[in-house]
Amino acid sequence: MSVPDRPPPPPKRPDWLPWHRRLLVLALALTASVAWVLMLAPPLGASVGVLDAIGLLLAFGTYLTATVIIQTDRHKPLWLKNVTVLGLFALLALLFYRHAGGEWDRLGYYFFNFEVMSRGDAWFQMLRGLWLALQVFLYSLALSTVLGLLLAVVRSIVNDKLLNVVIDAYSDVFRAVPPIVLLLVTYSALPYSGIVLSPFQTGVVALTLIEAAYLCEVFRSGIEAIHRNQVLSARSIGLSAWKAMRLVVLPQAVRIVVPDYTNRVIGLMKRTAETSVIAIAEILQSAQQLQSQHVNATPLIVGALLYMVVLFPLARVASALERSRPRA
Amino acid sequence: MTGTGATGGRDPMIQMEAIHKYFGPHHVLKGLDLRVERGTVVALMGPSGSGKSTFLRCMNRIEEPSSGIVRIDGMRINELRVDIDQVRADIGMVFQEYNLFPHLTALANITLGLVHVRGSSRREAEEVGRAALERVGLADQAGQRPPELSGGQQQRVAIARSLAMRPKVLLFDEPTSALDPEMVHEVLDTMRELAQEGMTMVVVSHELGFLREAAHRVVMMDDGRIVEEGPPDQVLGEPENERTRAFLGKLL
Amino acid sequence: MNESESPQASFLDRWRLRFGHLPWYRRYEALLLAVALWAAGGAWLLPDAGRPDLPVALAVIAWYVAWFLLVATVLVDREKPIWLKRIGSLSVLALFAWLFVRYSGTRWDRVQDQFFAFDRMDGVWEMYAQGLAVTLQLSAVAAAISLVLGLTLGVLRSLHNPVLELFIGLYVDFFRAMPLIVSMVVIFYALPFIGIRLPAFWAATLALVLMNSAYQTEIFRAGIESVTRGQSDAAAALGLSGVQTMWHIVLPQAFRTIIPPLTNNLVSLVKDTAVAYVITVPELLTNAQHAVVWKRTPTPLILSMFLYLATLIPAIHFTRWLERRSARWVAR
Repeated sequence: MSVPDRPPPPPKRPDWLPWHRRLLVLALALTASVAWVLMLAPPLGASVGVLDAIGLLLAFGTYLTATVIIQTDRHKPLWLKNVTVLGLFALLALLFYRHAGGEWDRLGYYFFNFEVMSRGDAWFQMLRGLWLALQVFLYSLALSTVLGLLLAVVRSIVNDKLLNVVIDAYSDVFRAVPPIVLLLVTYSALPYSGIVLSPFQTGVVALTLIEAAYLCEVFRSGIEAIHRNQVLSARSIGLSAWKAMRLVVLPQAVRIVVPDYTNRVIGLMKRTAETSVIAIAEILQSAQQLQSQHVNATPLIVGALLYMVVLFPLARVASALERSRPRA
Repeated sequence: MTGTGATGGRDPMIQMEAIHKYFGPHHVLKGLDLRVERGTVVALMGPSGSGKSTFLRCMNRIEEPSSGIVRIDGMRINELRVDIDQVRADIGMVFQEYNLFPHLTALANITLGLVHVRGSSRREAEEVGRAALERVGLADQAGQRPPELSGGQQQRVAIARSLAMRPKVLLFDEPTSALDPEMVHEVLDTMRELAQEGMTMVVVSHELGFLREAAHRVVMMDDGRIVEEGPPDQVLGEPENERTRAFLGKLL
Repeated sequence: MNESESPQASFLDRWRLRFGHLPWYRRYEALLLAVALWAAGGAWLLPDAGRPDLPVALAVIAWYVAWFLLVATVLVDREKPIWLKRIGSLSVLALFAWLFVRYSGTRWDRVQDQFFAFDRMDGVWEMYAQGLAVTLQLSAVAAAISLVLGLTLGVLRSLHNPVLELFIGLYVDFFRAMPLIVSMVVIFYALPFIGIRLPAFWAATLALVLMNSAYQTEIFRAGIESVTRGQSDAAAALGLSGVQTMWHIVLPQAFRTIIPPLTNNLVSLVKDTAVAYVITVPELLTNAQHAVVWKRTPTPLILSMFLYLATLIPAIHFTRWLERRSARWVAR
């Protein structure tokens, strides 16, 4: 009946702070590791020896550990957390700057040389590439949305065994095949069989086939997340199957589907870059041509920036949607 | 003053002085004072939103008070130089939702704090843990994981988890509100036994029967303030404050 | 009282009285008739094999879309018997197959000796073995590094520090928005201009790590945030420190929700290694392409596709199994 009778382990004194709680110690660890990095690091451009590398890693590890200890402590003041994190990123930037082996004076000329871009019709080529990529994207998005929705409806509402086998096999195959492989197969193998499609058509077909397989799963999870009772109660007030679908199931499913769908949309736009391997002069292809033509990497950087312009806002939206997703 | 010579209930275990708490613009606790003597049971009551849970959570700084002083056993605990983890090890807390760790067995739930905070050896911790489980009548459930236990059993494991740390004081945050009615009594029985053994306890609860029997003092809170406090017979029997009467009326 | 018997009753009312109130799309015989008519009409509309003109093609498409909608009304109606649904769905499948055979212009006689020319494959099998080894190495190295990075960033992001939130948020969104192939090309072809030269294998690894760690960061963060506040409250009340709470309480619970999406991510990482083809990493696809040029037949490419499928379809099924299992675990 009694509380455990053995003497309790010797209590640690609560007014005696352990080292990892002492601000002074942490501050020392932080500054020491920074100083260590600054002093030990060989000068810019020099090669990093094994010992130097180990020292740098240790210093950086010390800093990272101190940061994690500070960050996970609910009671450390916010300014301290912010300052240590800023220091962490500054340290990372410094390490990269000094030891990535970059010749930074060449950065302006080779990466951000807009004189190169104004030669000939470079800008025009890049923008035409963007337009072509958007076309591939829009065509395959429209087609795959229709196809995916169709497959999902058939798969989860009809739920006929024979059809399910067909649809599952389709979805398995096209979710498993790497897009770039499918693109190459449709592009370079199909002509042997006599099916002649333009590169553009090939790209759209291949991307559509893949995307529809994923979208089928996305839509399916949306439809199946709606509880069967919802459909039954809709039917019980006399709505027809279509009306129950349109008025009750779809509006609810949309809210579940939208975050996943946005992610797939982003993925599809990204994947249009892979059509460059089948001679579609989209952004990447144009950029690579210009790069070898002018012996300058600026077009590639511009190409990457074009993708950012299109996709970064979408990615932010997707992140926000994911966070606001209703928890199951 | 520091309360080392315990002589039957005159020296304070918990002292809360002028506690204020803001959640953004909301002023939740409006300058609360409370003294809990060693070996007594103090009950906090009040309508939902009155701040009683927040006040309780300020006592071990799970919730950081915006201003005011918290003293446990004479030592001020809300300042930077205090190792709050060691303080909390001395303050047991039992939650409304049990908050057992579902990935650990009942026994491992109990030994976790002993091993990683108190620094006892694993073997020693297991002995203490088994004793604590026996104490709440669950010795045979040591190997079960929380999802396999009933609500009442889970809450008793949670009590054992706090008890095994040998706390100076136990805080209960509505320990029976999430339980099915038939399981309430098993938890209340355990708490009653603890009270009889002279454990210092602060209990947020609306179980009037239990409070009448076990509490030494009842504190009625409303809108972030203490509106009435006194022995249970007085506060529950003939309340002076209008709001206390209204609240008790709704409760019955 | 009964209006349909009055002399003013319309034709429709008298019809309903006689045949019941079923609308036409509820009547099996009407539906079967419609499907048959549609099929006949479609066959009559269809031009000969070969490329149809645009107006004809549009008419055919519109016709079959209408057919499909008709079939769909049958398929979604729970009152309809299964045989009717199956006739509807089979008719659609048959339609697609027939359209493909008739209009794709496939020369079926050439498919066999071009796509499956196994007699010309001497020496190709060794190339596959080497390619597969490189693919697996690339996957393993990239997965290991990105897991470490993703876990670190995920844990840091789950702490809700505004500065961390800003930096990691930017990192995550940047590499989720950047096509893998573009970052590979930039790393391998652009960085040498400023003196940063990476071997092809490590350039591919770096690109894979950057992208996948961004996805994994979000997976870990979501997993960590799925552990309720009460758990860390309870750990704090016991006196566990922040690091201890993370290690003993939060991460072990988070891992159960993390594992299905994480395997999913790793499967797609393996799939993405094929992109390394564009920067000449000698992995499976690259070697297959070399063999295509060498043997002058697309067979190696087709075979490599089947190799990917044989590896990845079981992996996808495994992921799905994990997902179902974890759904059960969460429900319990």
